[in-house]
Amino acid sequence: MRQPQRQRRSIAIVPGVLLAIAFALAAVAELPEREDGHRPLRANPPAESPSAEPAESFTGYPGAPDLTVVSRLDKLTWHPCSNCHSAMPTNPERRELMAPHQAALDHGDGRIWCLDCHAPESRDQLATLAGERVSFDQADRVCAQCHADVHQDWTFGVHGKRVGRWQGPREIYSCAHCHDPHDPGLRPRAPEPPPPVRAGLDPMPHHGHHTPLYPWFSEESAEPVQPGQESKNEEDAAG
Amino acid sequence: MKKTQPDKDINSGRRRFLGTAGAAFTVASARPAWGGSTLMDAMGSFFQDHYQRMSAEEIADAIGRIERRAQRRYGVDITCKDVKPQDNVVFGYALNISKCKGYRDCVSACVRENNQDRGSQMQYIRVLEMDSGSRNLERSEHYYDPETVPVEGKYYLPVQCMQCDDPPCVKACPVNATWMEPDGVTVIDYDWCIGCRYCMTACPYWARHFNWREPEIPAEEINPDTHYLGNRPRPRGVVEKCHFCLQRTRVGRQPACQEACPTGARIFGNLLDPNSEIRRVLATKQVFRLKEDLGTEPKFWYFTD
Repeated sequence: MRQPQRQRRSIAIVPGVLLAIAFALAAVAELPEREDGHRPLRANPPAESPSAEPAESFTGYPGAPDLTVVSRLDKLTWHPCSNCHSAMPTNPERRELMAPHQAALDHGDGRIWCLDCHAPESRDQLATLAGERVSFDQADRVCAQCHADVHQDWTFGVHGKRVGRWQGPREIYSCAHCHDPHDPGLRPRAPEPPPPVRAGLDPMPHHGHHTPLYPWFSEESAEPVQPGQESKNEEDAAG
Repeated sequence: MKKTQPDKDINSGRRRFLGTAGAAFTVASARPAWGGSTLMDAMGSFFQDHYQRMSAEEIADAIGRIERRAQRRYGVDITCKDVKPQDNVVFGYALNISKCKGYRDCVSACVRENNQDRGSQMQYIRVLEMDSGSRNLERSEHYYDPETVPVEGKYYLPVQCMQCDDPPCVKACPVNATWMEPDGVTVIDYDWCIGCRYCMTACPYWARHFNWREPEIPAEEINPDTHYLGNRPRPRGVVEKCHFCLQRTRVGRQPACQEACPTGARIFGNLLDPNSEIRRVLATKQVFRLKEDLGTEPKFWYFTD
């Protein structure tokens, strides 16, 4: 009964496969051949010549609520930088800096260096790639050039921190309040102490969240634990 | 009330009696009795009504008693306010678990701000150390104490009162000592609570805590800025919990945990304001709530970057 049915099905598959192969061959045959054997590229529009107009500058996200950035200028150790740099010629060569600047820049995997963010001719300002000059309190404009999505979150208050009040004018920290631009990662640090435990008791054992209902059965060892061999913590919890 | 001219003889007798009683009352109320409080205060506390039934004058009297009691217990002058909820405000909280590093700064700030007992486990915020990639609360650890946090392979999930919109604790309370205020915060009348702890068993988030002993706070660490339904000093034997720092948030300030968080993981705001940060989080981020399937409708969301 079963044998003829299977034969009939395999017979039905054969014309379908043949049809598919035929279609594939036809599709290949339709492509025009080139001398080097490659298929032609899509017809891309010609690249436009660079505009003589200055690049459009960033004017903010539509619908973003107003914000005031808490100023950091008084916290900058060497600001204003022109105190020293006004007397120094600009050296545009990439190099390791000497004190008081840190030698290594732990940001951007070596793709950026000082003058990508600091304005060469006016050291009290930062520079955007579009050639704008912004103050140190507008550092977010410089950061946003690479970290656009984070910047958008920051503008809307999803990233970063609002200071003081949830109501009224919005005052927020700038990027550099939390991230050192020259070393933006946050270092691990010691936590505040854990909750105190009542005198005479051990804290709940790590991952030993329940006192076993049946102490002779241990899930982890699968070996039966003899009654009376429970750990000290369980005794404490029971007592 | 209309004044009447009563009979002269009766009046003089009554006046004499009232004079004697008044003198005795003055002596009694001037001397400390009943645990150091005056008779006046002891009687006032005994007959004090439920917060929601008290008139403005009665609440003012109660606040006076609270301030005097704090002065007696801790030797500190506190101010207890009864700021009412603002119109068109419902508080909500969002917490970015990609940002939380488990520093517990929020916990210690909360303990200081809310005059919680030092030495006991009276902490409104519990930071759970969770295995990465898991949301199994039973395998969480809140006594973690490594040298530095975050620990590799772990993430941190701070849990506090979720300010449920359908709070099971309120349903459990047999004496209506806890209720939800119009700004969405579930509060407790600490003078009405009988300490039965039904609400603690009803809460699925371990958010309610019981004062097993008289809270002990060093006098210099008392936060004198208190709220009647918030961080005023509590007696022994009552339940308390996170109240979104009513003493701060009802006057527009951020809660203490948000202010203490060094990573910016905590976002607090008005859920009814479409331009608020928290509404932006809810609109643009992947958010979840703890134990959402219980239908308690928490107003506390977690999200990731």
